[in-house]
Amino acid sequence: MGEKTVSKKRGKFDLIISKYGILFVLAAIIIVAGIISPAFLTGQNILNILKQVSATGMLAIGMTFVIISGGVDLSMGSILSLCGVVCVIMIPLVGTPLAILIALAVGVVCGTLNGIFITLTGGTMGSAFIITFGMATALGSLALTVTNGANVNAAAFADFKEIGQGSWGIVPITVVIFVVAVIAAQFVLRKTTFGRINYCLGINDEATHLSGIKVKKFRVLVYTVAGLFTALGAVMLCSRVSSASPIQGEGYELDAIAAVVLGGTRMGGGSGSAAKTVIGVLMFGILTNALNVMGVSSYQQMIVKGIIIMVAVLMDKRSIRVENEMLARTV
Amino acid sequence: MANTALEMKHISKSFPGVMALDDVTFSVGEGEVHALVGENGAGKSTLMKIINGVYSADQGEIYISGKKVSIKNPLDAQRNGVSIIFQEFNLVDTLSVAENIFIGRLGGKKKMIDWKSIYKEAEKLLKSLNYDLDPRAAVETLSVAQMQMTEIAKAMSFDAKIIIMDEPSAVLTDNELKKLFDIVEDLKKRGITVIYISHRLEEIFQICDKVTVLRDGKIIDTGNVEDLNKEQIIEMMVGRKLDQEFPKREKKIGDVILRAKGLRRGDRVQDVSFELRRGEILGFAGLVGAGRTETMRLLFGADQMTAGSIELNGKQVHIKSPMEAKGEGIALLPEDRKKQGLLLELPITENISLVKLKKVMSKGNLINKKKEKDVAKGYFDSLKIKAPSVTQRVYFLSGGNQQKVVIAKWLFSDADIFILDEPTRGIDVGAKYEIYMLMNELVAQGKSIILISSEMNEIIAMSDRIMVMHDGKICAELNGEEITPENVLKHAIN
Repeated sequence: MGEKTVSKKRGKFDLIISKYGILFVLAAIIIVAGIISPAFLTGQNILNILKQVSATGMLAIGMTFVIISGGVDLSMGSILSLCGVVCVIMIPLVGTPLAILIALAVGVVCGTLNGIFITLTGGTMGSAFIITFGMATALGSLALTVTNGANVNAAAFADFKEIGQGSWGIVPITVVIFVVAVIAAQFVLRKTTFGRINYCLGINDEATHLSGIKVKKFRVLVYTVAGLFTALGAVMLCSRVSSASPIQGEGYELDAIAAVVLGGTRMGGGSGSAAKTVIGVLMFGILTNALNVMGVSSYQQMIVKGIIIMVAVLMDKRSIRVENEMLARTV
Repeated sequence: MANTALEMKHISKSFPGVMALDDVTFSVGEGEVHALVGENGAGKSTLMKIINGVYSADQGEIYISGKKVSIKNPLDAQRNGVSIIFQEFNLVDTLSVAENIFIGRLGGKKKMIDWKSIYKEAEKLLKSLNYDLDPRAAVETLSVAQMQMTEIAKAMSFDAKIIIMDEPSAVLTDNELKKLFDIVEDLKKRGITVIYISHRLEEIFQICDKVTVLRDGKIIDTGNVEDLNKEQIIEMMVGRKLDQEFPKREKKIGDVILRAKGLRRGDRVQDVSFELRRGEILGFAGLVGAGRTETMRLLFGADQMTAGSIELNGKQVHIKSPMEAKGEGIALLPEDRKKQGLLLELPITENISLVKLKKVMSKGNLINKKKEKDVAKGYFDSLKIKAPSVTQRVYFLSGGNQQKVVIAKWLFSDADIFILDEPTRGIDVGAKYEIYMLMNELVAQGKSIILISSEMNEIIAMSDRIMVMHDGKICAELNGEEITPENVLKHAIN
């Protein structure tokens, strides 16, 4: 009897560690960085971090939808570049508000095209990989073609720059947008038909279809949403750096995937949440900032990040096992 | 009789809830073609899997050529000269014939593959068997009969003395069947022992020397084929009275609710017409692959029919997707409930609500978790689902309880027509009874059921009427007195 209680306690401990382990790691990074460099824990620096992560964060939220549905979107970086240059090019022609709307429309169209092609090719992770990879290549070149390879300067557009550089009180506007986006995403995932079915797609496409659900329609919608979030991220990023470059988004899709996985959303789909992704995004941002503050070179930073991503996946694998054991025990 | 090639003594094997094999003693002579027949679930595959080392017997001994052997895995079987050819071939489609024959042994002891000698050896082997096959041809370009030849060549390359063929003819055309018979005949001449598992009794009379009948995990009899006729074999296969494993019900059969006319899709479903009445359980019997599941997928819109029409309550409907079928009140409980019927990682609550999320929403089209839970709790009690709570993931439920969740889900969708495809497969006896009770309750409420089942007892005891399918066509409709195991089997194997 005594033995059983011990093992049960042990199990609970394991479950807590595996479920919230990522938060402990996050706390550890903050503490270590704070001790090494007092500059790290200043209010200004923390706001800075939030400002820096919010554009990547938007992509990561979109990627969360995609990964939960059992797919992946490698075209986000190129969509970001394209939306960015389209937006900045259009500002002098149609004004900032309309230019932003056009950029968002471009994101929605690109995402929807992704979704349609992926659905047509079977809707699997494999087809998502190839289709979005193809899309990444094509859209990346399109962005380069549109600008002839040059950067587009946005320094002259004060109202546009306000989005990425302005603040409401002490809170940067991009942070507000990010927080609203997270809450909206979490709400959609938990409370709406689309959200629920998004999980079902990632768990079992066929069973969902045989439950009389329009699987294809919802799968297309997932990528449309991803395109929209990417376009929002593009606007926020270009406005913060006062310019748009046709290669601005390069590598952003990988950062987004990393943040999602780091947060504990499973590659392969069926589980995860926007809240988890926020943790992943913050961790990535804080780590980058902490390494910067500590004076670690950007090359060495990549090594640390790479290792952390792999460790996160290992931990997640363990957490699935522990969770299953715990659940099996309750039967 | 010549020497015995294989002898199995007092083999028993049980799975949770089922005695699959009960003291089976079975022997096959050298160079004999020995048929093994029995209904689905009689224990044929279990017995063969024990010979092949996939399962190990709880009790009993196996002798090969008079020597006691211990077969713990397929490799042991191979070493003892036993090869099994499954209905679904064990071939890699994209590789060549030679590669498939020598797969797993391509390198020999060396690290590099000597392609020249592989192709040469394969060619020699195929020649010695008189098979006209190019060792370099990719398996995907072969006909089914040629794939069978490849499998046999593979077995012979292991120096097999005993070859087991599991339903080898199920997928063959008449022409290919003739070739198969030639192959078997030739193996026999070479002194190879063949154990031939088939549902098609007429084949047994054509090529087998002996026949053994299995029923409910027991050997009923072994005899010379020439001393037996088809009726005798069927009687041995079925030969039992239906006992009280099925609950009784009062029949209240009403008007025609569904009328299918001339449904067709390729050659899997050909000109299938039938009627279903309110409060009726309509059985669909037939062999595996007879086109029953395919027909139902047309009704449910999971596949599209190429011809035919469906009437519901006298009105013609066009069902192009499961969603539309759901809208018309049709439910499908698929054959493979884990892959097609359920989302295993989701809790019971969400599996049930998925079919009609609208019904668990509050204002503003938002999912209301409390409503969702209440709904699930209702079915939890009425269907007696056994689980720690309604939020348990269905992954952890037993087969019977999983099936109840699928039923709950379609009850929640307000379906009137329930298509149950092998609803009790893999479910233990007690839970089966509960599923039968549920079926009776459904029809008592005026709903209708189409029951596909390969279990003879089940389909005979539960159905009010039975359609028998063979080769994509309905070949008989059995009513009242005509519903006997002999009749069903006779039409199913045609």
